[in-house]
Amino acid sequence: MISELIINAFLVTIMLAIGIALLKTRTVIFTVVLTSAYSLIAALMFITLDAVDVAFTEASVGAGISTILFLAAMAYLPKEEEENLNSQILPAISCMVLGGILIWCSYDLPEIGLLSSPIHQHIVPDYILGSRDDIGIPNIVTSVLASYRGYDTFGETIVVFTAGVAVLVLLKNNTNVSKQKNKKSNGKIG
Amino acid sequence: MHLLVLSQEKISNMISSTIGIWNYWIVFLLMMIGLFLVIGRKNFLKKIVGLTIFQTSVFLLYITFGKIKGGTPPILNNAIDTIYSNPLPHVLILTAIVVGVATTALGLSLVLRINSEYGSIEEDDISAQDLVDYHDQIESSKKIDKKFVQ
Amino acid sequence: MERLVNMHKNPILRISTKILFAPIILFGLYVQFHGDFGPGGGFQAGVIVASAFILYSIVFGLDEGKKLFPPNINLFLLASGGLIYGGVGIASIILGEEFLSYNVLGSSPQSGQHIGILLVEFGVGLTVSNVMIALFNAFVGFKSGKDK
Repeated sequence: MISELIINAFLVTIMLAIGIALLKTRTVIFTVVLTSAYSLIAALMFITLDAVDVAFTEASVGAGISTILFLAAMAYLPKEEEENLNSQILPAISCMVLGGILIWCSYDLPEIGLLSSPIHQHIVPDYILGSRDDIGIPNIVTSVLASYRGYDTFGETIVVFTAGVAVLVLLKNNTNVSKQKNKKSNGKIG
Repeated sequence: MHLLVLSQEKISNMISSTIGIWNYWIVFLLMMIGLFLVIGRKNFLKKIVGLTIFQTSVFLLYITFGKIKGGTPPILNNAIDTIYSNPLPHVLILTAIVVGVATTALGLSLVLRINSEYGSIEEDDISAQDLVDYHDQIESSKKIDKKFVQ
Repeated sequence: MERLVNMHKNPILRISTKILFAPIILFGLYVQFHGDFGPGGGFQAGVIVASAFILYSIVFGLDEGKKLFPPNINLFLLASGGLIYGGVGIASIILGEEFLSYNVLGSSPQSGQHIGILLVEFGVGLTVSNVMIALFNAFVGFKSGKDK
């Protein structure tokens, strides 16, 4: 049990290292690859935290498809990020203050893995029993996803559909749309 | 022997309580890294990467809440007194990941369109170009006004 | 860039893609229909099936990929996934229950739940896979306004 948590803490520290590397890097390809690695390690963490379905989704969606989309988009974009250090002080300070407040509040959160935390008390025992008796499907996540929270999943499906249609609309036929801006363009296309 | 067992238990308790908070801390730090990438950087692609980092750290926070020590993944088995980890955060996050990649794709497509319009994805460049355009517009409207007066 | 354009001439990539294509889709279908019993479900299966087509498009080029899976069919299936999901809800209303309550779909409440969950997951998988393929096609086929 302890070893599980130690592996967990190790993985989450690797994620922090990747996050710091993301802060430092200015090359787009490194950014994309680091984001992919970040998603993959998040998927490993989900396995150690018993969320196998989520790990599956994160590994296929976060580390797979989203990396492909980033790489496809990268081909049209500038390869380097421009340096501007002067405007970063205020955001950095506000992030530090907010992070400090959140860490201070974390002492009020329940310790990881306690059976007595409030989140485990309310409706979940009903879901677990109902999945066995009423629905008869071993995978509780699927039964909650599709049956108990069917409305939710319906909404999410429609959101995915809408986002796909919006991307198709945005990226189609833009030959005649761009106007005099074209002559100002100086970036190169990969 | 008894003392040794006791101290071992104590040490393991100490480790587990430290680690119990450690996870939250790193998740909050990751959130702040994501937030900083969104508000501190001027590059639009980096902003979208920051959103992804922030999203994933929120996912981690949710899944961390759902963990039960000694629990198994929430797939029913025939043993009688199995403790299952909380499936509800898993369901919420499962759908949020797929929606997250769809919205990331939408953001990326907006960035691509901005790049093809302005030739740059840096916020400063774009606002400078907008300012120039705005002044041009004012100039041309002044000319039109003059013509109208004459 | 030259190497990328000529990717489909590389025999290793070409043959391994052709070998891998069917097993990836088979694995996607397994994840789709085994989602009731193990980890898996519509969301993951959709992405896995889409990744097979994306692999084909990456290796053989976007035009070949569009020949394999025409955009018209893609758009049709994209919309029909959500329709299947909503249709299950409407069917349960017609059979005299509330929206998306599957108990009335089968002979017993449990079999009704099974049928409902299977159809709903199928709808989710259809939408997700086709959205992912459409996203990939849109991003790769994007013609920047600058290069005309």
